[in-house]
Amino acid sequence: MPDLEAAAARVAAGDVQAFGEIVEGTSRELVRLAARLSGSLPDGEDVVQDAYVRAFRALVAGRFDGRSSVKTWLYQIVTHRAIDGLRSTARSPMPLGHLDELPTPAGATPEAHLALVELGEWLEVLPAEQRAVVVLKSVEGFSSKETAEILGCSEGAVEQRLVRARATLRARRGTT
Amino acid sequence: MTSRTDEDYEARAVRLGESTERLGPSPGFHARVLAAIAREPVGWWSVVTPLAGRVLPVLMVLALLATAAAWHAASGAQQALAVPYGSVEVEW
Repeated sequence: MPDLEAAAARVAAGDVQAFGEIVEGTSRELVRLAARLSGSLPDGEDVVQDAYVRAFRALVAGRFDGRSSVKTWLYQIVTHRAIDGLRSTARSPMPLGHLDELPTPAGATPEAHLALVELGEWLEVLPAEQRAVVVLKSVEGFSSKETAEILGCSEGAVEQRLVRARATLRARRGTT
Repeated sequence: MTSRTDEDYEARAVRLGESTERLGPSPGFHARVLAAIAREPVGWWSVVTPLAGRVLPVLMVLALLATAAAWHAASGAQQALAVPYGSVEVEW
């Protein structure tokens, strides 16, 4: 794992090539997170690419204040971009058909693809913020404190969203 | 006490987390990202924007000082002009 803080400092100082080290060191987990949030690997890749471009702009413009680590900062950008994407999808839902019948995208085994489809279908009833809490805390395994830092909210808000999400998923389970 | 549905929730979240653990970017993703980064302009704005944050407050203070100095000079000139007018003697 490259030294992300040092690479970010070099990008901020004008060494554009150093951004490649950040991509190399973080893309796997960021794409996995974005795919889990969006329920689709291609969508997750789009989210992460957009997040990287935003992060790059912020670094060269001196807008990264270093209050959180580079890794946490990237998680924050990716999560918020994914939430924005989920909200816009919710406003204009597309007919998805049978997602599990779509070809397995490169970067995923057939088993992982099916699991991702199942995850997306399981969480599709949740509002974007609750879905993010479930993915970050219950699937990714972050603590409430880490989840709150990524989402930019209090630990209490994280717990509240998790309780609501569980209630929604439980109610849905009861109706199916 | 943990209910059966909560156990189901935890178990399902863990299972789906493990099943999707090996997900990663497709081949060519890094190149795509770096190509997008290469298209980003890193010209004048990337230099000016961080500088503006530091220079702007100084420029504002200088502008205020210049305004105060100009006002002070103008009021002095007004006084200087007013005195002679008041003392003009007209001879017939």
